[in-house]
Amino acid sequence: MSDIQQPLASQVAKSNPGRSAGKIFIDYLSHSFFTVMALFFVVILIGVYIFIGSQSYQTFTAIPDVSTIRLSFFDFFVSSKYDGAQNFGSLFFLEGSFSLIVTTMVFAVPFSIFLAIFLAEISPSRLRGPLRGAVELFLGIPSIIFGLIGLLVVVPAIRDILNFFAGGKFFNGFGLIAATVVVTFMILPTITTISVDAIQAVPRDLREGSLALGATRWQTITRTVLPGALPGILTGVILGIARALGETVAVAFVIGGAFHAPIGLTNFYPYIYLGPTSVMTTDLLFNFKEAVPPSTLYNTLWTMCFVLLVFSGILVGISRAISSRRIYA
Amino acid sequence: MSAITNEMTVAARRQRSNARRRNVARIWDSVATLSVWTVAGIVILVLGYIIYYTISQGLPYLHLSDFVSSDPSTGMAPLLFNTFYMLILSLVPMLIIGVSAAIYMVEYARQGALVSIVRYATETLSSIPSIVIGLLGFFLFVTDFGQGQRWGFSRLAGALALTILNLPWMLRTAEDALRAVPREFREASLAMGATRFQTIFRVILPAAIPGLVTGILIVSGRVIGETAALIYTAGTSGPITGWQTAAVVQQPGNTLAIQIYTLFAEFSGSNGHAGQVESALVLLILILVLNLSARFIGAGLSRYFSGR
Repeated sequence: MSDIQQPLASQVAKSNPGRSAGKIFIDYLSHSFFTVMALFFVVILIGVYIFIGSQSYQTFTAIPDVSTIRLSFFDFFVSSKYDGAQNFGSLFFLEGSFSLIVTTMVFAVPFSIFLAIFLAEISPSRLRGPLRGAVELFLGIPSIIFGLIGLLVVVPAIRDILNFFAGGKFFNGFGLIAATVVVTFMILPTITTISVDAIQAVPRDLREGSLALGATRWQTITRTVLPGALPGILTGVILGIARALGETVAVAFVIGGAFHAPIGLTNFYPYIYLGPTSVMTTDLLFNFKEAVPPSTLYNTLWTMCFVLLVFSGILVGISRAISSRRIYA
Repeated sequence: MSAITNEMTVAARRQRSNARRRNVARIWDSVATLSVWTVAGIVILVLGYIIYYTISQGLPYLHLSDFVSSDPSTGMAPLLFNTFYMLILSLVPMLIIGVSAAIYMVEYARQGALVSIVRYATETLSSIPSIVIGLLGFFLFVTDFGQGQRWGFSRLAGALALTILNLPWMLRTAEDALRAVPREFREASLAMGATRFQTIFRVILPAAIPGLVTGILIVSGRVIGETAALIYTAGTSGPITGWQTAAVVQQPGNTLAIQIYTLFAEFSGSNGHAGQVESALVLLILILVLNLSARFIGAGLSRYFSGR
């Protein structure tokens, strides 16, 4: 309403008996109430950053005393020496999260793009509605149930497979592989639903033009439809990455929670470790209950929180930058 | 002469290679179609398996008496009570803030800096990991900024964490509901001399009720299944003096979802199995009912309101 000159309440009341001054006052009041409520979202976001930020830097500035030590950036971000008392090198947590995202995406991206192509282009129209509903139902299943099924089904299966190939009882099944399986199926519906919308938004004329030129359906899909839907699909992938990064309980059920890196860092030859590992979110979940306020552990966990915040903020920034692109103007 | 035959062979070769290329393309088309069908089949099978597994595992442990018992290992009465109590506690502020903000975004806001800031804030908020919101809730509501106790592990702290976590989703669904109201409704109401406020409360909100109900049901499904944000806010134990001290918001309140995690964290092996699969079954049924009713109640209400 800012650029329209509002007539004075008294003038309007005189010219329009239906609009009394009181009603116009209520109008202004409600307008400002709704505006404040919208701004409240900004306030919450700033609050989250301020409160978590104010806790997170203490890892690097704390005055050393009986219960606390001060860490340098190197000690925290580059080192992987961790014992929870003197050494808090957390690189392997970052690596755990990063490897989980990579392994998950390797499976989830092709799977969900195929599923999206099926839902948007190939499936018979009678199947389309129920299938879409099923995928959205998938989206609604809480992570705790994925975690429980991971614990009861995926972990034993992976334990048996790994032990079969290793020829002994070396593995308990917890770790990166189980987490990858669980998180892949959790983020599949996220990427799929966004990709389906992107594929359906590609103009119909382009498909018809391509088919009329003699292209097969698959050629049309890969050379005309998918390039046009690419920004939408990438947005879905980025949001899937954000979800994989922030997923907590489902991963906590199957990752094992040991202070181990999946590749290199804490490991000797052969450098790949298929047993229990940790990611950033499970570090917070498992170790926060032992963190009593004036301690280094408490400080480092808040730093980890802030790192998670920054990463998810960056991912949202990327997804916004991509989603505004248009391939076919 | 030789040039002509050369040309002819070139043309023939090109024709043949074109035909071959077309055949290859056709074969690729079938292969790709087949694999897309396979992937879709696998995903649907996995979804079916998740539901089948939860039901088949949980059913043997599901006893009707558990719904009214408050036995610490299998009783679900306090869990169910806490689940719904915290759902209602968190829905009230979520609705007030979310719907009001949605009204601003749909009815008042124009494209500009403010709108894009609010939108950016909403998207960023919705991507924050739930465990981070949980720890923030611990910091603000359970403890007094990390020093001393404010409300302790409590239903109130849990409900507020749930509110912060799900506000962006509430805003999004409420916005969709308001945007679905035809533009003519607003114009007709304003042309009759109604104020903006009257238009919103007497025309737009009633017309948006089907969409709002759908949105509330979907958000409720998310709230009921949330765990990570509650472990350090609502706590992992039941109320100290028994769940009959019902409405006391400062009591700790573990929900169905938290119970599954607590049994995992506290018992290794099969000790917690019965309680886990039973709670998971009840939780899954609740969420399926909420999601399916979101679909059908929304459609039914909009048919009722549009008089068809």
